[in-house]
Amino acid sequence: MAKSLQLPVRPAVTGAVTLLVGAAAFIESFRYPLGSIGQIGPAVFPLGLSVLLIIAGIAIIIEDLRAGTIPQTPVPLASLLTVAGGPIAFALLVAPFGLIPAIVASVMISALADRSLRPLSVLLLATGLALGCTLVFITFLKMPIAPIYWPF
Amino acid sequence: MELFANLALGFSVALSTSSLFYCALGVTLGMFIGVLPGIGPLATVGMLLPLTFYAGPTDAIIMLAGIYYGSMYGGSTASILLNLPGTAGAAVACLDGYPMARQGRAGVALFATTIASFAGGMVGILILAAFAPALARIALTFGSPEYFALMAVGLLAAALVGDGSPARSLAMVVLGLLLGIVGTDVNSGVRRFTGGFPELGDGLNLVIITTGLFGISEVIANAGRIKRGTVQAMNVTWRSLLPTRDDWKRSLMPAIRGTGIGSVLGILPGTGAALSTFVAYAVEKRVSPNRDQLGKGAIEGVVAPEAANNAAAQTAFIPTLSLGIPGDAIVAIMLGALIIHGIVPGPRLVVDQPELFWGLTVSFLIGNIMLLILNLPLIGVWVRILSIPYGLLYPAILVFICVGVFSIHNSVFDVMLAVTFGLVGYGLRLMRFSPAPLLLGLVLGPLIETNLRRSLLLSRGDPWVFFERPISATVLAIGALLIVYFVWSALRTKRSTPESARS
Repeated sequence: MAKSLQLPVRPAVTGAVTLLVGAAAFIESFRYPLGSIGQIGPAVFPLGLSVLLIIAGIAIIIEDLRAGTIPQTPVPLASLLTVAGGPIAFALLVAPFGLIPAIVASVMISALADRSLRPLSVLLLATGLALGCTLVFITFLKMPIAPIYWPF
Repeated sequence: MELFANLALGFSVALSTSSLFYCALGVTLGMFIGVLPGIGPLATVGMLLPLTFYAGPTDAIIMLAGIYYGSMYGGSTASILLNLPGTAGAAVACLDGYPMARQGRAGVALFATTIASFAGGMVGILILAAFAPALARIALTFGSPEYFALMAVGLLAAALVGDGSPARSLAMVVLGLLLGIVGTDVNSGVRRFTGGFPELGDGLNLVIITTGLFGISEVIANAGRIKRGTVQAMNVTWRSLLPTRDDWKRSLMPAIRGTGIGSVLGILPGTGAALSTFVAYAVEKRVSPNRDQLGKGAIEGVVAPEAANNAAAQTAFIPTLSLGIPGDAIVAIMLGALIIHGIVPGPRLVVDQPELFWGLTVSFLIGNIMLLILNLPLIGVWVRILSIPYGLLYPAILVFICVGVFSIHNSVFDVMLAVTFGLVGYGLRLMRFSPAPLLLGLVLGPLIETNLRRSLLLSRGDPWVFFERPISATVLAIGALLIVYFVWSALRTKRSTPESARS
């Protein structure tokens, strides 16, 4: 069984997060010119939106407090890290090493999230994807990146 | 006989080799991801958006639309055979589809959903061809105040009417509008909400947000969780597909009712295809002569919702193409794709780009026929596709997302941004937000701001401009009524809660 994390999501948390995002956008908006009513500046539209987001946050707090119990979803920490890790590995490897190493690494890492996969099928999947993407994106669509770089 | 000339134009566009190719690609992919649980049409459309930059705008939109309505056909297959909806809109098809499969009538259920989908889709297309040009002609007289009012109230309706909590949907729409602001302001040249990243000067790319928020977060939520279910009736034979005479008779009225409900809900903003299935099922529960059998494998329970969501998937293009106002999130992405191709959405689209509008409409016709062929003779193939393990799919989905996002600007930053949005999207799921309305805000945000500014500029700062014009005043009044109704109903439930708790 994969390890999972139980987040203590209390009734007010969701609304409070919404409210904080709204407040941050409100403060940020004031850094831009307000303009005049006939020629409204870049600050006006985001200001209005931030106020709406703050209102929505308050409404969510009221809603969740009234509902009382909040359904708790366990967070699968391991698959969160491996699924996000695959694309991050891709991003880090694609520029220095090229497309094929980036794809292979991405598949290897993200495949860790599903324990039922056999290493051989992961290897086959990685090879197939690396070759297929090279063919489609580099050969046909002329993406300006090499399949493999040798930085050494 | 303008209609015939237009249809002829449409056929000449849609029957060209490239359009046929993109249409076939779109509907097959749509069917594929519709059948497979764990990947939705939103993520797929986002993933394939970069590919469409290589095609012309008409072909691009033909393919993206094909994914959308193709997924409507495919979604019910997994519902019937696995009791696991392939897409959100297919959840209702589980209620009667799976019991039918357990009674050994999986073939009939698959046949009925395909025919109902086809019929609903066809009627939807006819309504689209009849009403969109007429609506566009009216909309040609609209100025900025009308557009501002329509878009703002459309978004409001999307937030309030959709499924789930109105406050949460409102938060998502507004968050989408705020994300739409990121980048350089066209009027003043000021960089807004970029957090100092020069890469964000051009704004947030639609591909990055959709693949992150829907693709990556979907994979995080499902990886290692989706287990293979037992597929009911692995070998669906030709003979088992054929419904009895009684099945036909019982399906006719539900198909008509479903199509009607879907057509209307598809046009209205915020009520997408998924909602129409629930409404169609609820109506059958009320009016069907066999309503006591619903939920136990009644054919009415699969026919009505499937007719409804396919009709809605087609009529959703009416406000999108004639007004430039998308009815649901997926159509919003297509509108975004048009904008990327330099086509300004709005009533002029039907007038100035008849080959796009009529080519697309006729491609729907062709796509639906293709889907009929894909579904009935090839049903065995789709049943086998259901047994592809998710463990082999999701690493591939992630790779496609990475390569797709990277290919836009060859930017590593963009890939990291997509991962960030994936984590944000997963966080939103944990907080029970459904992020789809966010896309509406993201696409419409810049248009709303421009029209607001332009209106106030033309009226020299007099906000009365929104109320002195009859159309914008009416639309804003509808918006005000919506707000009053929802605040009132929220207050009413507050007072009635203690009473219901006592009883």
